[in-house]
Amino acid sequence: MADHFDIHAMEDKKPSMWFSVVFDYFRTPTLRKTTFSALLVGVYVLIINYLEKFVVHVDFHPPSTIFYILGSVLGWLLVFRTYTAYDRWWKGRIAISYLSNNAKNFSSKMNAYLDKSDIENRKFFANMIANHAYAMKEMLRHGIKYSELIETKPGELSEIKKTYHVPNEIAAQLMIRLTLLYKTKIISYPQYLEAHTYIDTMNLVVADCERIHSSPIPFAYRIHLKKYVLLFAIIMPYGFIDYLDYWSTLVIAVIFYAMYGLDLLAEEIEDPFGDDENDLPIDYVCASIEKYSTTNLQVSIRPSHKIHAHEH
Amino acid sequence: MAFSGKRPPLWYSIIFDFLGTKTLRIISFSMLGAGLYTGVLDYLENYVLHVDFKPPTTIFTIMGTVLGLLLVFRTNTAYDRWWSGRILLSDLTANARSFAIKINAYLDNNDLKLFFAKMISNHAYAMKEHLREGIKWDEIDEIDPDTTHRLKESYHVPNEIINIVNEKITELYRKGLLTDPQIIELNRHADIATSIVGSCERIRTTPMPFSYRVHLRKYIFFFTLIMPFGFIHELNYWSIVLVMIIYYALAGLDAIGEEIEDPFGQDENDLPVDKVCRTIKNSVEAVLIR
Repeated sequence: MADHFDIHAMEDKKPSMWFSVVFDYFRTPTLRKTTFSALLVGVYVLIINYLEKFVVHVDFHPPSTIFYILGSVLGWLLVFRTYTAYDRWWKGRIAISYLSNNAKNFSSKMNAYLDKSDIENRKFFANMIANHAYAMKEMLRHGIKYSELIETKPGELSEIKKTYHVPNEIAAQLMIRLTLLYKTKIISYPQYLEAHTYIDTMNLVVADCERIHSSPIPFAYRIHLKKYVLLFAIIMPYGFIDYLDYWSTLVIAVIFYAMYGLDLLAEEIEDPFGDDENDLPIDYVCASIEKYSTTNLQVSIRPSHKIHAHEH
Repeated sequence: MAFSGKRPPLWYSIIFDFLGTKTLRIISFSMLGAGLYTGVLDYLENYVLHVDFKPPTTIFTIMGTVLGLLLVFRTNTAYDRWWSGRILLSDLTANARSFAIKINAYLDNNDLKLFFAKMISNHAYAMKEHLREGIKWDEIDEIDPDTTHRLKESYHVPNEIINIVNEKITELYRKGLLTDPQIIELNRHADIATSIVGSCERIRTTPMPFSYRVHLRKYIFFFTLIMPFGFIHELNYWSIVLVMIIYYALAGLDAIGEEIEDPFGQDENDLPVDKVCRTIKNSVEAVLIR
C-alpha cells in the first residue's frame, strides 16, 4: 500500500475530559502573556483597596448601572474585534485550500494533456506548482527561503531568484511554458484556455493572502479597544471594593483576563500565516501540494523523493 | 422524503431522550464535579468558615456579557462549518447529476457511459470514507483490475479517481469523440468534484483556533468557581441544582459546538453523507445505465 493521505495529521489531539483543556497552560503562549497583565491589574486593585479603606477615603461609589452600560459597549467592541480577526483567519484558510484544490486540478489536467514520455514538461509543471506554494508561504512570513525551492535541473530558478515577486514570476514562467505548448500544438485551444484559469487562481490566492497579511484591523479600533479595556479595569475596583474587600482582586483579575485575552487572541489570529499554535497549517498544505502535483504528474522532483509511478 | 431529519413526533418526547444525548455524556463528569464543588463550598461557608464573600450581581452581568460573546462565537463558527459542509454535499450532488446528463448526451457508447457512471459514484463514496477513517473498498465499483490497483496504490483516492477521469476525457477528445466546448464543460465538472473534496477536507481539519477553545473553557471554569458564592447564602443546598443546570447550559453549548464542527461522521448530529452518496449513485445510474 502507498502511504495514504493522513487527514488526522493536521488535527490537535482532542482532550479526553471536557475540562482538561483548562489546565493546558503551556500550549497557549498568548494566554500566558495575558496572565501577567491580569496579575498587574490584581495588584492595582489591592493598592486601590488599601488606599481607599485605610488612607484616602475618597468614597467614589459608581452605581452598578455604569457597569452595565460600559460592559455592553465593551461587549460589542469585543464582538467586532473577534469576528473581524476570525474572519481573516478563516478567509486565509479558504485561500490556502483553494490553492491546494487548484494545484490538484492543474496537475491532473497537465497529466492528461502531456505525453507519458514527456518527462521534462511533467517535471517542470510539478516543480513549479510546488515552488509556487513554498514561495507564497515564506513570502507571507519573513521573505522567500530559496533553499526550500526545488530545482529539477540546474539554472531552472536563476530567473526566479532575480525577481521582485517570486510567486508572480513562477506564474509568468508557467504561462510562457503553456503558450509554448499551445504553439507547438501539444495542447489544443480549449485546453490552453482552461489552463489560464489555473494561473489566474494562483495569482488570486496570492493576492488574497497578501491582503489578509497586510491589512490588520484599522489602528484606531485596535487602540480604542485597548484603551477601553484599560479604563474599564481602572474604574471597576471602585464598584466592588465596598462589597468584596480583598476578594475584588480575584474577581477583577478574572474579568480582566477574559477581556484582555480576547483582544490578544484577536491580534494573534488576524495574521494567520505565521507558525505558532493558532496559525493555519500552511506548512502541511504546501507539503501536500507538492505531493499532489508530483503524484498526479507521476514524476519525482526531489532526488530522494519516493513516489509510486503507475505502470500502464 | 429521503432527507427528512430526525424530528421527534411530540415536543415533550425530547425530554425522555435527555439521558441518551451525547452532550450530556461528554460533560456529565464535570457537571457532577460542579455540583460537588457547590455542595462542599456550601457546607464550608454556611457551617464552618463564614467567609461572607457575597459578589454583587453586577459581577455576573459583566462576566455573563463576555461569556455570552464567547459562546455565540463558538456556536456560530461551529455551525458555519456544519452548514458549509451541507452546502458542499448538495453541490457535489448537483455536479454529479450535471456531469452525468452531459456524458449521456455527448457519448453513444454504453461501455463508456458505464465507466463514467461508476467513476462518478465511486468519487462520492471515496470522498465519504476519506473524510472518515479510510476507504471502504466494498463500496467502490470495480472498473477493471488495473484501475482498482491504481486506486489502491494511490495516496489520495478521490483525487486519483478524478485523475483517471481526466485522462479518459482527454483520450476521448483526442479520438474525436468529444468536441472543444464539450471537454471544457466536462473538465469543469471534474474540477468542481476535486474542489469539493478539498473544501470538505478544510472543514474536517480546521476546528476553531486552539487558544479560543482553551479561553472559553477556562472562562466557564472560573465562572463556575465564582458562581456558587452568588447563591449559597440564600439558597443553601438548592444552589447545587441551580449551579449544575447553569453549568449544563454553558458547557453543553461548547460540547455541541465541538461535536458539530466536524460534520462528516456518523453521529446523530452529523450530515446525511451516506444518503447523499446513495442519491448520487442512484441519479447517475438512472441517467447513464439504461
